[in-house]
Amino acid sequence: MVTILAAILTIALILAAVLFGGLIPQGLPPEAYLDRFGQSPGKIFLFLGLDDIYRTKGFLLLGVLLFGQLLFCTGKRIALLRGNSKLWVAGSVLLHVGLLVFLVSTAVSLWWGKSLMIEAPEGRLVTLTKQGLPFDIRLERFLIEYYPDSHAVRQYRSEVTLLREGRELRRGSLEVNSPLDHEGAKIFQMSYGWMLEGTIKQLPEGPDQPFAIVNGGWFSAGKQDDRLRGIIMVDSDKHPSVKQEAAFLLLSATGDRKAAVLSPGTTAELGNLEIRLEQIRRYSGLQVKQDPGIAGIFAGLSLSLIGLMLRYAPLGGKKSI
Amino acid sequence: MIQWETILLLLVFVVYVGATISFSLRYWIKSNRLIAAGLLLTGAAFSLHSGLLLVRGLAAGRLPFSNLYEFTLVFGWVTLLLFVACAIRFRLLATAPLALSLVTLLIGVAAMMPRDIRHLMPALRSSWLQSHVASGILAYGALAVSAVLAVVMLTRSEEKDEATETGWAVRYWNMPAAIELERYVHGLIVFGFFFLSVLMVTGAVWAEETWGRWWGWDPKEIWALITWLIYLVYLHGRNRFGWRGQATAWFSAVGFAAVMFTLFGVTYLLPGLHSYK
Repeated sequence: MVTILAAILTIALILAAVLFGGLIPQGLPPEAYLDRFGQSPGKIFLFLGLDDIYRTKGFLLLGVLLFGQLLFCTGKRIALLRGNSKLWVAGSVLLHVGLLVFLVSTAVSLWWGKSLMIEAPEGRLVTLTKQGLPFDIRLERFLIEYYPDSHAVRQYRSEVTLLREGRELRRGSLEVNSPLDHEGAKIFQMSYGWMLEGTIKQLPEGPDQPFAIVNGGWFSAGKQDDRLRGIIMVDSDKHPSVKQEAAFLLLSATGDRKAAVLSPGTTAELGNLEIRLEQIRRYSGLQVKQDPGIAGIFAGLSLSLIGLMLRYAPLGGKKSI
Repeated sequence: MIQWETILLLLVFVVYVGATISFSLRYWIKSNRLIAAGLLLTGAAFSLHSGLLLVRGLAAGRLPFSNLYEFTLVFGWVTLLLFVACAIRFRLLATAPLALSLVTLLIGVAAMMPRDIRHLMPALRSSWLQSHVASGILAYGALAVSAVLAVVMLTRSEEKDEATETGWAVRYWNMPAAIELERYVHGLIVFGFFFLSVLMVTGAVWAEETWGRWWGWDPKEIWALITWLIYLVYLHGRNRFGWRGQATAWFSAVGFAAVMFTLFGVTYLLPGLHSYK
């Protein structure tokens, strides 16, 4: 009875922690919490790691505690199973064994899993083997499929070549909801966008500095930390709607603003900077993931579901364990 | 088709309101005709509601499972279906005013949502959509009915009232005692909890396939977990410590409040990857 009380308390504490994270937005920049709670309380909040409560040692400890209690309860249930062949007892055992498998696999996933987000431009090799993944990727082609008579995207797909030490391993394609699997690593289609590539030079005699601006982002440029923004020009009446032109906006450290529209291969002077747009490339946002725990996670969850079904199948099952 | 949908939506709402009023009046006017009228109006509302879902499905060219408006309509439909099944099986017709009020409220809330039919975004074009949403609807429907019975239970005594009804209403209108209601609430929570678990597992498998992670502490996931944990505590408390009575009724009510917040509150207040309005 004490064990189950402890288990309920642990679940209640996990519930409280999850509720905390559900009510206070997690993962915001530190300044957001300082603004919200004030300097001193905000610093204490950040010190305790409450801005990322699900990764605090306390939350992990609750998971370990739950695992220990589950292990103990499962042992008791297995002992009970020996003298009781009723379906609901077997269901209860299966349910708890499934949860144990799930928790162990989650730990395996957290410790040994690897995941990398990449923005792969068409035709360029992205090296992943240095990060411990089993292959490098070259995006051969990226395709967007639209609904008929609409600008709404129906599907997007990447055609890739996987390589190791320059040697081609395989070619394949992947799309949203349909990852590509190779040697235990999966490639997921996450997003897509446009990338502006070119060079920037401090006038009159500065060196050419390459830049790559992704999806209308900012680039710090020049000696005085000027900020350059590049935005793809869109013609919403056409398919594809992206034009081969980009607008650049320079915000200088002194507060001056200058703008220019460039097409690939052209140059413009913005203040004391010379900007050359080399190309507008489409990129595919991919996630490459190697997770040795994932099969166990889903096996554990499936076992638990079957166990739950058996546990309550004869709802009249009077006794409870 | 859209016009038909608007007309049907309005009709469904009005007829549900009529059925709710009819059953509610029965508490003051002891005429069995009011129960018969309530039943007739409920049947009509349910038929119209089914027609509304059919029209929506035909117009969209798919099952009406893809945004909050469609989910709310199907949620209301399943809640009524489960309530009617329980009302017939356990003779709970006297709880109809509360159950129908909830369904009417859901239809009213749905009517305020955007109804335009949009193309499915790539992430939603998955075979997991149907099983994930269907399990959610079954879970939420059962938990809604359990909450209705739990609220009624809070107003009831342990003993069954003396039968004061006459005619055929004796069989169906007399309110069960709290102890009986508690058994039904538990059965519905078990049913709802199972499908809530299926909802979370299918969601995890789908998220792994689409986003490359089975769990991401997204607001919808967090609140689904909160809901699941509330019912988990309830089930352990009831099974192991014999929790009965008002405490379990409060658990059911709080659990359903978490369900509603997960569905509507998170969608409008805490946007994340699941914000399919």
